[in-house]
Amino acid sequence: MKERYESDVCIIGGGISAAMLAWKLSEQCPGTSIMVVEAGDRAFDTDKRWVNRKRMLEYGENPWPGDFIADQSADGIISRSMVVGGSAMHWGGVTNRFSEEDTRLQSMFGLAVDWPLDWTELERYYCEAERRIGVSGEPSPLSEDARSEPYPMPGMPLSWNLLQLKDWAEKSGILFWGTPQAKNTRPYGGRGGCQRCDTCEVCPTQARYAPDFTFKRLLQSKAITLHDRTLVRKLTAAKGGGASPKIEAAHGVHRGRQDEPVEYRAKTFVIASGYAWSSHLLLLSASSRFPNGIANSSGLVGKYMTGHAFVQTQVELDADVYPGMNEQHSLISRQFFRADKSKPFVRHDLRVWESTVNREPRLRDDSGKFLLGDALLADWRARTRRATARVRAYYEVQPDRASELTLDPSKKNRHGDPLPKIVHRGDAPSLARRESTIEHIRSVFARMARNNGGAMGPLDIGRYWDHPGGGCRMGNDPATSVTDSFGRTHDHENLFVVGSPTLPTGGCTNGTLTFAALTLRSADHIASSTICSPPA
Amino acid sequence: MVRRRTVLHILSSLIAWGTVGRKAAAQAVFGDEQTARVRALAGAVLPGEIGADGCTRAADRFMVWVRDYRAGAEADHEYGSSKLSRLPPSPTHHYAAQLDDLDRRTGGRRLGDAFASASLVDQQRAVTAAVLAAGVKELPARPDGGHIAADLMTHYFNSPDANDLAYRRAIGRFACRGLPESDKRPPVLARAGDAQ
Repeated sequence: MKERYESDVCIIGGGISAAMLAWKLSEQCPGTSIMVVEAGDRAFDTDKRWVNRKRMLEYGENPWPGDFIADQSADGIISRSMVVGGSAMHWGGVTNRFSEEDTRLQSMFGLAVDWPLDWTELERYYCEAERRIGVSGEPSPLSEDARSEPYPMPGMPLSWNLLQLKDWAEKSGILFWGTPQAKNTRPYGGRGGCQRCDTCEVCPTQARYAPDFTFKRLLQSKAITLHDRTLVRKLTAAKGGGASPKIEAAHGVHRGRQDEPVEYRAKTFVIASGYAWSSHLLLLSASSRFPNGIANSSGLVGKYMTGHAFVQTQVELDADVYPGMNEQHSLISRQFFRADKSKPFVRHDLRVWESTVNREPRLRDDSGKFLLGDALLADWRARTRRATARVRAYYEVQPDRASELTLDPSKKNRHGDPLPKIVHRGDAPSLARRESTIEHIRSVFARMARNNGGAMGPLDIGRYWDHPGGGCRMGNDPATSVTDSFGRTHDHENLFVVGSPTLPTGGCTNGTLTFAALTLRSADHIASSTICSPPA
Repeated sequence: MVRRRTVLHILSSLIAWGTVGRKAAAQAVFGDEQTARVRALAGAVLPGEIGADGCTRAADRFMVWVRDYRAGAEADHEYGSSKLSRLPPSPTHHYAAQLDDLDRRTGGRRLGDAFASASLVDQQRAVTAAVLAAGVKELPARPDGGHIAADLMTHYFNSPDANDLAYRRAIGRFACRGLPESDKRPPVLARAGDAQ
């Protein structure tokens, strides 16, 4: 027997974008029925986080037990997390902003495409995202990073270690400061302050923002209905409407009641399923009427998958550093966000962490001598006289059309749905400049390593694109994009895609705050254009 | 349906193995006699600076760690990968034999106390030979059953206490320490025993 639910808005996906959207819509449109449907379980048992954290530290156990669906995976994804709260349940909480360059790559550098929105407007939504998430930050000293509002909380204090590393790193002439973080430096938003437990992937105190907190509040106030453990497998369009009909229903299955299909009907549907599962659902929704899938008249659903490449190294140096003080916090420089137009294009961030590499206990010394007891401790102590810094750069790559998510007919879930396969690929200019970009970053690392008797280790070239997005890129032209700037699909006026999938390009620093800011911008539009009028 | 039953069977086997295996392993390896042997081993492979009591505490913590190990538990899934994994079987499988081997290597005719009554030099010589014979070349990230001596060492030396001892500072890695004072150099350990 089929279960059927009706609502004003049906949000498919339960990650940070869904949380931001549901939160804002519930404020702007009180009384609106909002249904959130998430395939994963709820992980609301905050009292277990201390135990889970302990077992993660001691045994390497998953601190979020059961936060995945065994048969719901994809080649090319970088996290298996499927849970209410999404991958932001175990994120590090780094909330860097993109910069104006990201939104104007075509205009400024003749690369890729411009985003169909204005930076000044996006900046306001960054502020809102920071307020809602609760971001502590130290303002960038660079004028290009000007903010219209201060950070909601003072920045995370630099640990002794980071102060030593900042002193070293800035001898290179590059300015560094602390990364902004979704971590409370004082009680904020109903959550306590950071206790520096140093396991931000499972914050036992909830000082690091996670979307479960928002969902719990929305549920307590009955602002939303949440159906977890429910996998939406297909969208169907209403009859009529020509080539651009409204979406009529989302069809899914409850994971605990496999034989009972679930149907959701809503005035407005919003896909907030992240970079992999948003495009996947649209492609899965292919039918005789829409053979390429829903919202795919452009043929671009699943194309232009974004992210950024990265390079890192370890630098050994003379510094008075004590590993373990706050390993999750890092320094950042945004100096290289500004590509010099007179030189070949290169754009990247620059980060520095304390590191234990080569500062760990070991069983043999450099001569191969076996070490036990006092000898091992003596060898370890001798190596604590120097320090190690982990240095990393996320660098900009613009996606090719063939940077894509496709359905892989050889891999199916228990329902017989083909699973996604993601292959990232830079466009021709990105591929052409790859070697020179890496060489540039190597030279920056070497410049830093020249101080404090530094010695740079080998370069570690990242094997994947981090902070992925794309697949439903936004744009003004329906022929070259899937959604408009608000995430409304060009093909179906009541179907939106929000957050990471809408990015045309992936920037060169952590993406979550940008996903949230874009979602909040979408929320304003959804509220005013389809659900209700925003409050005066 | 067949596939689901197969999965359930594997899962139930893992759970059963984890429960029964863990109890059996703890009882088989760490009875009173074995506890004494593990404590003796700790005295040979851990730093003298932590003292006999410190070695005993470290050995006991290791045995608790082993006792509470959950074979087949979900492992933390690695960021950057789509792979899922589970914790391997308990590392204890060869511990009893390895302790017997250490007794033999220290010339004991009667298994159980030869290693404990040997000199530190002989103990360390025996451990070195045994660990090398077991093919252990580095300290594992966590105890993995390669050799009980290496496992005991890695359990201690990778602990926050050992980190404090190495730096002679009260860093308190992974303790929830609050933000105040984090910009200060960690205080000096008053004495080695503080790092316990």
